[in-house]
Amino acid sequence: MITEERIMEIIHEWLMNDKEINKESNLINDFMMDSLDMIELKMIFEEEVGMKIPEEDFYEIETVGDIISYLQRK
Amino acid sequence: MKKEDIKADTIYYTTNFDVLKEVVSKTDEVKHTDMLKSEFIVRLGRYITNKSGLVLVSFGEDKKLNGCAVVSRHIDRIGEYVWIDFRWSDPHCGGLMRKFYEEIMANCRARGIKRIQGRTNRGFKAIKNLYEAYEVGRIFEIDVTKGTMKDDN
Repeated sequence: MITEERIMEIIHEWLMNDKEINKESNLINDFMMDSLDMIELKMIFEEEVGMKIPEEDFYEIETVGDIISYLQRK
Repeated sequence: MKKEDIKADTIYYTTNFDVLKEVVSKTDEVKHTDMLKSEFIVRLGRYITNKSGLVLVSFGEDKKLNGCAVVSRHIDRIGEYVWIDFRWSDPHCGGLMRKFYEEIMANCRARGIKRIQGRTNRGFKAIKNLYEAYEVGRIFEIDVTKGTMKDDN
């Protein structure tokens, strides 16, 4: 199962900046992600966990905490 | 069409000046683009005037613009194709851009146009993944303001 630390690490690497990341961080409002960014991040997590993530599921995700909860449930 | 009749997240075609102004304003929200707003406005005007392009829009529950795309029709050595000049969707509206692409594809099929092309400075993997797109050739650019070409000697 993917760990919370690994998820944070992936997001940090993807953002390529020193922005603080915590569970409450909002992907769109805090990290200025747009729809393409969300899809790219989804693809990175798909590679990491080795399974497809339905688009509709990822569109429900708003925060880093949401990603953690979702991926740890899978 | 009256604003109260607009259904949320539904794709509409428009030539309404106020809506077009909003579409142009969204060019400020697109990341990593090298498109010049002034040039885009001229092109948009041309598309509307000579009907060589279309503007697609959608609105949210609050009747505010939440997605748009500008496409134009061209011909190359293979035949007709549609070029995606500009696209934007509210990042809070997941899945909306896919609706735009599906509408553009349906429009192409109805007109017998078999190809859609676009240019991106980012997210190519995502576009490939989402729309089963593939890379066609490469674009090269030469800056003619920079001195002379290299000497081959």
